[in-house]
Amino acid sequence: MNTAPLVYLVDDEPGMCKALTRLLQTEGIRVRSFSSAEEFLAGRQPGEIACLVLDVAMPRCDGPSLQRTLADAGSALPIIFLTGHGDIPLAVRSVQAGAVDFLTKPVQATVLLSAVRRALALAQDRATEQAATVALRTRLELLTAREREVLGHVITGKPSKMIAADLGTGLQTIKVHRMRLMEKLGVASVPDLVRAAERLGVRRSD
Amino acid sequence: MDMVTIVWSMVASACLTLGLVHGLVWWQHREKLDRLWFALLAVSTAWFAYFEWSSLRAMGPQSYLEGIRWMQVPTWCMFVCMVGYVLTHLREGNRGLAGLAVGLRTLSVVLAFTLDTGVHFREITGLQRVMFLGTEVTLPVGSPSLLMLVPHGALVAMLVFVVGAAITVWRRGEHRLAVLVGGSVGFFVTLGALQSILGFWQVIKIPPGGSLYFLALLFVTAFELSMETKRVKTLSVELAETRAKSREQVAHFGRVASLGGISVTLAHEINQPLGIILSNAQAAERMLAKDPPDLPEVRAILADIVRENLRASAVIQRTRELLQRKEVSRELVNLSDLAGEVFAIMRRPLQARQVTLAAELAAGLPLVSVDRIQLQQVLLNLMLNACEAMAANPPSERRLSVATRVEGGAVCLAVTDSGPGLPSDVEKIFAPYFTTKPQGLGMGLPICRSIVAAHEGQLLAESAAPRGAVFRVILPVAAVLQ
Repeated sequence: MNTAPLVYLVDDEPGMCKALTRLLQTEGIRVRSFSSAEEFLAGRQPGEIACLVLDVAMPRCDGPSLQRTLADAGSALPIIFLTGHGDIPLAVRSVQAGAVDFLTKPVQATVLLSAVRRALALAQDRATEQAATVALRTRLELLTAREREVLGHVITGKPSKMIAADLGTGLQTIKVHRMRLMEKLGVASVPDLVRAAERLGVRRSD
Repeated sequence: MDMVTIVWSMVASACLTLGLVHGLVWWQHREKLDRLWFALLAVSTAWFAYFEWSSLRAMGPQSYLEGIRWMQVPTWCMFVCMVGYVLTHLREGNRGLAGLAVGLRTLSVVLAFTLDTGVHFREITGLQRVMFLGTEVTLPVGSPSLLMLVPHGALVAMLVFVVGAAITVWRRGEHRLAVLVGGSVGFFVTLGALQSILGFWQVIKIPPGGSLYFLALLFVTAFELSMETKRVKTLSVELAETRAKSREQVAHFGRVASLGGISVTLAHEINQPLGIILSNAQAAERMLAKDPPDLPEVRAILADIVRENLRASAVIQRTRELLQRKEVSRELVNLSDLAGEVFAIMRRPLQARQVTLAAELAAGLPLVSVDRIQLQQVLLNLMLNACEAMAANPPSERRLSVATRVEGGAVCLAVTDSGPGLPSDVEKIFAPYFTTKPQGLGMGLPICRSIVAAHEGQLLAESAAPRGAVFRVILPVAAVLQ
């Protein structure tokens, strides 16, 4: 897989697609351009770390509609809007709906490039985060039933003595479970453990 | 060929021609039933002429009787067609009288075919030959029958029916139509009837010439119908002209009204090529900074830049054409009237913006020589600007005043709003690209000022007391040639 960052470009104006493609390519960014939202939905590859530069006004499916479609599909693709007319209410709405940036045409190269870099970094972060969660979930699978039970208690912040009492077992046993599960999940401290559990959605046993 | 045959066949062919012409007219315009009746009337007359001719040429009493017996059938048709024609063409006429005329005529057809000697005679004792148009023609000798009152009653009923209808038409105010149709039918039917009645009663000794009179009648009526055709054609030409004119006017209004909205469209249409040019140019800059630069790509970029540049110029050119009519046509205009015309266009926009308009238009203003459409554009733009300026006011505070008055040798048109007023440097608002509207282009006022300047006038702005702004268009009074 090519690891150079990828920008999806959706604009119904071919001249604009061409110009922006050239501009982004001079910065070593891979670009795939589409002339409509439909074409983009058919041609994108969900696995890519990428961002989307999207024209607001397009015939049929316009930018905001595509943004909604992607959100409904659970996409984490960062979106930069490009518009010909500075419509402030629309800008507010789309940023509230998760757009990274809202730029007006004609757009300065530096402005566009920095927005694209920010969006790509965000995409990278989101991808890293997602990968970490996946890895953590695999580790969680390694825990025994008893260790998962203990985990639920540890993350409430209770001392081991109290957990032992709650579970009707010896303090030493709890300490061993606790050490093992932290080892298996690859965390070094209780705060890290709490964060990991939160990310995995482990329930606290209060 | 004898003269009688020539004349009667000419009558018949003239009738058939008229019938054909008007039948064709009806075929193309099916709703014109009067044309159909007229065509049938003409054909029936030709048919009638044939029997008339055959009776004039009859060699024995029996063949003469046959001739006038069969003559009843086309006569009946002529009656029906005449009634139909009067009812559809004049759209008047007593239906009872029409029914009486046709009924009596039907009765005489029945009598003609049931009685041995027909309706007109109790008996025919012989035939006499008289000279008519240099030809020997046949006239009957015998005792007239009282039953002849039936067809003659039908004639009288028809006459009363037609003349009555014509009188109603006259009262309706269509004098020409009344005289042409009513008068001619009255005159020729009376004449024909008199001759035939007197002939059959053997008071005078001339052959019946019913078809001749009827042909004359047909000609007059045909003339009337063609006048109508001509009138319709004139009317349709006028209609087309009016329509073209009003379409042009709508287009003008569109242009006038577009001045307000034009900046938004213009901004949008020019932004696109400008955006493409900018991005291309900046990409090229970056490419040239590389070692080695991708010169073929830079060349392609330059070609694209040129193309987009031309596209932007085309947009500007189009807009300019939209704003300025190609030919500036000056005319003498009363600014108060002109303001009234713009109010008509602005009525809805003002309602939509909840702006109250107070007009103080002076009567009897001296005329100014201006391009009406351009001045309308100026006033419309000033009024729209005023509305925009008051958009933040509560509706009760959105008061717009338009006034006209004489000021020395000039006429002044003032537009006053109750908005926030003008910046201290008033001239700034006339600079191109100065705008207070989020989507404006700042071209409205500069264009207005240049239009007024082109008319040797001035467009001035100042803050009004206690609040708001007043824009004044001052135009010199036209030098009118006495």
